[in-house]
Amino acid sequence: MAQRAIREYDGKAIFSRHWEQYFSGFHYGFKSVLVTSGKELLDKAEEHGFEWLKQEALVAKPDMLFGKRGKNDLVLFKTNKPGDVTLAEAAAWIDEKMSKTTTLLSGQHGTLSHFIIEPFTPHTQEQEYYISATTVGEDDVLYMSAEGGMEVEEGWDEKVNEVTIPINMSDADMEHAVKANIPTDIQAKDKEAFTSFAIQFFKFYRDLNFAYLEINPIVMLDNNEMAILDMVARLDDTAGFMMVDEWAENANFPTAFGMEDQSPEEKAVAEADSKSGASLKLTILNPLGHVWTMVAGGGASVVYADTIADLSEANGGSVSDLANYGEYSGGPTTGETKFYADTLIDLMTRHKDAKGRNKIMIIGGAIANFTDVAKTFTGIIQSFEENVDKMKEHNVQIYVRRGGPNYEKGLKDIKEAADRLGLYIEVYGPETHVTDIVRMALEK
Amino acid sequence: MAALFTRDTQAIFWNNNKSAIQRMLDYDYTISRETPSVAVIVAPTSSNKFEKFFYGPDEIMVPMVRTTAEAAAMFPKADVLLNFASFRTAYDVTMEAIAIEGQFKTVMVTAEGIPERLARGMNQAARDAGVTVIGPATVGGIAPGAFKIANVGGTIENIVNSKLHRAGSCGLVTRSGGLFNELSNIIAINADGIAEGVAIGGDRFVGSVFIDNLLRMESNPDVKYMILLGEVGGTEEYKVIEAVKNGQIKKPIIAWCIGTIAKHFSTGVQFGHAGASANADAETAGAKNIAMAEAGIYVPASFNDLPVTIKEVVAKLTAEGVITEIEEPELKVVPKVRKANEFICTISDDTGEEATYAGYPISAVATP
Repeated sequence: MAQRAIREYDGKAIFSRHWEQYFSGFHYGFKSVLVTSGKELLDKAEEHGFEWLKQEALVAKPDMLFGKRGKNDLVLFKTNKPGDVTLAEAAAWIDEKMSKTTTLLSGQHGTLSHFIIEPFTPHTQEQEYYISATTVGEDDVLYMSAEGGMEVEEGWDEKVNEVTIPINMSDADMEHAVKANIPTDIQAKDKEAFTSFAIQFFKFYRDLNFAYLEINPIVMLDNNEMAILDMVARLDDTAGFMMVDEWAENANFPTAFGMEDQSPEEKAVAEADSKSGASLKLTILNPLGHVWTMVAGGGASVVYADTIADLSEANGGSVSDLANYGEYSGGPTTGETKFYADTLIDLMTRHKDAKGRNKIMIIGGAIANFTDVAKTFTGIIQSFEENVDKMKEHNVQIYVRRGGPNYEKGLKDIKEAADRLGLYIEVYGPETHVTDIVRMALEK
Repeated sequence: MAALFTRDTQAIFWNNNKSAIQRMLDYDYTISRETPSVAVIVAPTSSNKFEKFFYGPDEIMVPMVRTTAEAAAMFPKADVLLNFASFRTAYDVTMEAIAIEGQFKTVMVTAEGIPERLARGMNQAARDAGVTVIGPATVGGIAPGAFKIANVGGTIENIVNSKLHRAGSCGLVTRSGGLFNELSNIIAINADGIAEGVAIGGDRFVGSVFIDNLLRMESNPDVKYMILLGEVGGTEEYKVIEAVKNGQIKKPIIAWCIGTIAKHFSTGVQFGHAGASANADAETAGAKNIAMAEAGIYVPASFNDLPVTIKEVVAKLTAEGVITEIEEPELKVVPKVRKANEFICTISDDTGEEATYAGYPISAVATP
């Protein structure tokens, strides 16, 4: 739960839905479509209301939460000269881009899958402006510049005016502050309209619970016609319950480009998490690592990961020894705990360690406030019973540390089960420092 | 202002969260408080006038009303609101409480995931009204031997093991609630327990931050040294560094920021809470640990070495006579099995002289 990015298409759809309410006096056409193939684009052009796809010159670009698409040469706006891209050419371009792996200048790579297509908007550099808003510290900040496009990012400090707006500032004071800070080099003919737009933009950003909203560039055409050429938006997803009608179907939070190649195991854990009241998280950092963690609690999972990285380096290893990061907490059922343990044991017993080391399974956790430790350990014990042969084959050594309600029984049960199954195990309670099992395991 | 809570502190508990309230009353009994720490419960949808709880072996009735205003009128000295409303209503409950003039000094908000804009508005309104907000997204805090918020410290056995039943010398501030419990335990093993502790909450925007709590502890004579457990992300630790540098904080601080692992992974992995994401080099756990050490704060080599650092600092303070021996107080033990004074029997036979329950005379079963 936090600030999450939405697609440019969805951001524009939210703009469009509330345009009359927030931006009366300006006009915005919202001619955008989002497609996942060239064929879908061609089909879309046959639908009522989308005739413009056949009539106008088009611009196509990926809509997958990454920026600098121009610099990455991923904006199709010309075949021979700017503004001559036809529907067929756009569809072919999309299919071509989707057919291979794309690597960005940042190094991220993956396969493109979502594209936004819009009409080509002829305009001059003078008509391009920049506007954005976000939260800095405890305050909102509105950024405005007379220069839009890529230019604004070079020379940010000289070109951008900032207005800090505290959470409890009145509308009158906010409007006054914005007016007083309009960039001086905005064209005289646009100044009044830009000021009005900036104030309304801020209210829109605020009322619609955006965490970040940037239009770069916003183009002011004749007759108060606005063109949103490029946009980045993040929503505060915790406000979702208040924004059901306002965000409607546009509050989709896709996975960032290059991150969608999650493993099936990570996906399965994420799916179990979404269906459960408890919290189950798994990120595989290095599938060949020999230290695997099954840690209860968000804070504890961080200190275990920290300690493994610190101590493996100190013991002649490296951070790549750490295979995964994740946590289970919030009172998972026995079944959920078993599933989580099964997943981890399956992953840790796929490859032999290259240096012939044992696999280490850290079953850690702080002192629980109210989770019944014995109950959660039942699921882990069931998983041991099922996977004992694999675990022995890979010399899995288990280190347990936990406290909280019913921990004595939990520790006793897991020790007895491991001993009965012939698995190597060391078990510690609250008298042992929470991360000391990491030291014991790595020094061995 | 010196201490957050005293033995006389009473709370208004918003939401009839029976298990959490019972844990508070068990704590009260254990430390022999004169009055229960929960004065009244606000339950907006209940028509009951009271709720029964155990106080040691006996039962007591805690009054229950429908609005915070009624509760405040009934108990004008109850200056803590324990806001256990959901993330949907927690904001409204806090704002209503702040508006009751002169009533509340502290509002604790447990809900996780209050919309950020509402949380910011709530925190600002509280600051303007001089009310300390603990949270959102927290288990709360404790003044050992005086007042414990809801589930802090876990079971009563763990509370005694972690020496949370009487005041020690440490002021503890963490972000995480789970690690608060763990830190209490570490401090009990390696030192003499805590004098006051607060988990400030895991959301991005929380009411009272590290520096607010540490400055209060600086002025609390029972606190001899402080332990701060920070996290990757944000710049709150730098306010503490500033206060140490300019002499506002003179008591020794032991500190560690968790999340040093994040430096090994460029993007994509969220280690920890919503508030925990570094947007700049200065926000990384490693940079903050270095900056704190440079300012003269005691920073261990790793989280695993924290107990060693605590022992060293406490030994030094003991040698200087700052920390003195604590007399262990008498403890009352909450009985393991408790019976309610009344029970409703639906399987009875009233054909004879005396009604019987499963063949036994009622007088034989119902006697406490």
